[in-house]
Amino acid sequence: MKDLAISKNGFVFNPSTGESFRTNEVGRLILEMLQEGKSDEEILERILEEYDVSKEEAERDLLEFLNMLKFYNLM
Amino acid sequence: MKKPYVKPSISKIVEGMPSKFGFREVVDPITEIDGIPVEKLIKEYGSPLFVFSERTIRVVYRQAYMAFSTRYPKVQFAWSYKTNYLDAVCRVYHQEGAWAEVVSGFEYDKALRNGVPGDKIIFNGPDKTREDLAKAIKNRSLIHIDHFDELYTILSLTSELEERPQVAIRVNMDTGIYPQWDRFGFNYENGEAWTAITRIMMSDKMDLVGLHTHIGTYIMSPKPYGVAAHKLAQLAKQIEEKWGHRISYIDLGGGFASKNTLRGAYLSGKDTTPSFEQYADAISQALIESGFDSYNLPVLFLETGRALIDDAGYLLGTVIANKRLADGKRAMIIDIGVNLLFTAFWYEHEIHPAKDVPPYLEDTTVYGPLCMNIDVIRTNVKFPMLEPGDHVVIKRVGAYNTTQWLQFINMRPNVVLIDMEGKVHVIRERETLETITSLEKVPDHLKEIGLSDTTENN
Ligand SMILES: Cc1ncc(COP(=O)(O)O)c(C=O)c1O
Repeated sequence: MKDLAISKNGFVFNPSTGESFRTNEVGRLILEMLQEGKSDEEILERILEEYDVSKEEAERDLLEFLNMLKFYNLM
Repeated sequence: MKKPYVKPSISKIVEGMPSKFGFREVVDPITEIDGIPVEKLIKEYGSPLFVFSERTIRVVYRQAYMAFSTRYPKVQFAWSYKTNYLDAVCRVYHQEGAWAEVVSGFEYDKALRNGVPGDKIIFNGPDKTREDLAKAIKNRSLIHIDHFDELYTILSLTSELEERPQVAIRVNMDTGIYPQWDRFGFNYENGEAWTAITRIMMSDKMDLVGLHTHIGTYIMSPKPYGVAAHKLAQLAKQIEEKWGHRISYIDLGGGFASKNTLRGAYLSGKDTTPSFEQYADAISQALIESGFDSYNLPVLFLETGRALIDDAGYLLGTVIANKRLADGKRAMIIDIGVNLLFTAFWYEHEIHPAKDVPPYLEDTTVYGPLCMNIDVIRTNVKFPMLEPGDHVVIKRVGAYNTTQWLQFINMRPNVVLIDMEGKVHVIRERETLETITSLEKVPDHLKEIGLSDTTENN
């Protein structure tokens, strides 16, 4: 996780496998916070502060996103 | 002021990866068909929507006709109704000069309604009723006899009718392909075909005008056609030797492969399917080398179906939802089910987005909307990310889908034809609830069901 290179325009590079990914703005925020070692709750709070979204929706999307990271072996 | 929220997403970039064919895989959008924007078609005629291109029908037909007529002097196509019997589609082929090839009383009547003269209808298939046969005899249609029971029915009809039946026999044979279709017609190798011919010639009650075979469908090599043409030519020559009777045509049926890719095939159909020229080479060579008197060559009949129409048909649809499967794989649900796209069981149909999208592809399973496990349009296809409401275009769906489709869970959609001038015509209207219920009858004792609406009382 720490090694991931995350670019401003949403490209994510995993140097240990050579794989590239594309993410969007909220995805990038989540990845960056995970790199800083933040907890899921902290990430959720931050999303709710910054974005116009309900807690239920943000929570569901965050969970799904974290699952995707596991699927891609990024966590 | 908070920022607008977009659901977080991440996808692996496979763009630029060499595919199994060694090429870079790209999924180009199809934004229009014959100059008409896909968005406009869906907006006006709904989704899903079958679209046929009259231009493609005519162009492909002319290519096929050219390929054969430049190699063999007498060629006659007969449009295979079961492949697509929408009246408008059949009429395009008939305008191009094709006769009709039918396999049931229903298809026979449809051909007559379309204005095909009775003597330009080929009547194939194992299921012709006595009434069907009587009608075909009176109209001097070409009856292709499938089995001895049919032969005896025709014989018995000759005592009631004035017209002499115009018949051919369907022959099945070993052409080197597997599986060998031996359930239709009379076998060549075991002498059954010769027995049937003898029976017809001895009866002197009907005219044996042709010999027919249909060796299978989606035959990916021209060679078996050469073998089939050779064997039928041999039969024709034996008939001439024995009875001094000349067969007027040899009918090699359908079966040329279209450019669709078979499920599980390693190579794309676009790269492996023989051209019409290659099929024509094999067939005309075998016929010409058979030693017919060159002034009396039999007419070559062809009943080509899928190879003529597949490219002309498109199925447009809409993305309903995206999902992740339990193993994380992406799944896309569209409003096109296998009940509309029967050929999804056969083919890995090409599917395209209907607009420009970022070229990042991900392995995706494409599901239809039916509540059934078998409703898979593509098991695995590298596909860009589309959002619900976005449109897709499935290519090469012209053959068999609008004849084998099932009304299931929902009504069948509109079918449109884009004519040579780019005008769009509805050629089959979408079904309504009334289409379905108008055929149903409710017995009296079921008219009242007795459930009352209790919500108002609460
Ligand atoms: C007798 C006969 N002729 C023609 C065809 C058309 O075949 P295809 O669509 O493979 O060209 C068929 C299809 O099964 C057939 O049974």
